[in-house]
Amino acid sequence: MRDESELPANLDEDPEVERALTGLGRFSPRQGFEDRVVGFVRVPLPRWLRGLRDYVRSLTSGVTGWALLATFSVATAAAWVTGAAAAVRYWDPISVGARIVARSAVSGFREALSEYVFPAIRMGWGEATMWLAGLGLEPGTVLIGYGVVVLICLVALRWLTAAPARTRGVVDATQ
Amino acid sequence: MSGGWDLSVASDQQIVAWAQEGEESAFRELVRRYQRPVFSLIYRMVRDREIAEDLSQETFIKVLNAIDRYRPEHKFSSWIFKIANNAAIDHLRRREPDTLSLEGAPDAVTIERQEATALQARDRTESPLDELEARELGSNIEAAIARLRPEYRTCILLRHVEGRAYDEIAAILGLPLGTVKTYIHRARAELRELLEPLRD
Repeated sequence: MRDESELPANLDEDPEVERALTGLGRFSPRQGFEDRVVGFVRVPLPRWLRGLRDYVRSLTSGVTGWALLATFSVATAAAWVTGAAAAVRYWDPISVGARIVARSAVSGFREALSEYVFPAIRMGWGEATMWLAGLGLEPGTVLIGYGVVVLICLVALRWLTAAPARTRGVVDATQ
Repeated sequence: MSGGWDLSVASDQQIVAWAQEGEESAFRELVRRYQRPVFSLIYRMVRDREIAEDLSQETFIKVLNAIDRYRPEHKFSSWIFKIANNAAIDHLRRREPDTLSLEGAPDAVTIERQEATALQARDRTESPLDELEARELGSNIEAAIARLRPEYRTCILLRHVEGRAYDEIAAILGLPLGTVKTYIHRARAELRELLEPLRD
């Protein structure tokens, strides 16, 4: 290429070309461009948090890191061994206590079922049967009716949730 | 405003520093400042609104995700225009082979095979978006710019639409200053030739 570095750039100005170029405007992207971009950007952590992270990293690297890791491992092992030794040493009182807690939990659950839940179900069922009988309906027939309605709802739900995907496909194809 | 700072009057360098601190509003301000210049440059390079928007988005994501690596001794605008221009040029290079196959693949020997492999010319009046593009880029000067070589086109757009100095254009394109001056000189000469027959 011929070296034209010394050429003044405006020597060849043509007023009409210059006017046309000066009249060139800018275009805008579609609305929401800013949000779309920022949605994909990984905003860095604030400086103080990065400082803290770097400090922790510096602690856990090199000789200090190995020393910390070794201390942590020994401490964890000591805690497990101490816990296991205590469990063996005090096994009887621990097992008795655990059994008491488990029994009381099970009996409490049973009591709640027999005193509140089952009577409430029985009472509700009795009331509903009486109400249905007053309307001249059999409870069994009503249950079957409910089953049919639930089935219809499930089929409709399945159809409705599948429909938008098909619609999107059509829109994309025409764009 | 960001923590009492007025983002709209702050310099690019200051906003980038806030973005590096993890201030989301600073990221938004950078997008607001550069979305139109970047989009306009890419749109005039690739001449397709959808593609231009995708490439602009890619440019911003690339720049903002690498904001930690930005060095303040360089201009932020030069950095973002450089990435935008590279994105546009890469796209034009990728697209180039497609434009050669309008008649079908070279190895297609039967008529059926030629039809199957031929590119369909786009009907530009088909969708409202295409009509908008045609209106936006349809003026004589836009058509003339579109006929320039991509490197001339970038130079002339950065100079005349973005008002960038020659040395900044040289930094953006990674070219010597003399080459940029030459490109702009030749681009203007070509534009003059292209617009000449249209003068009354």
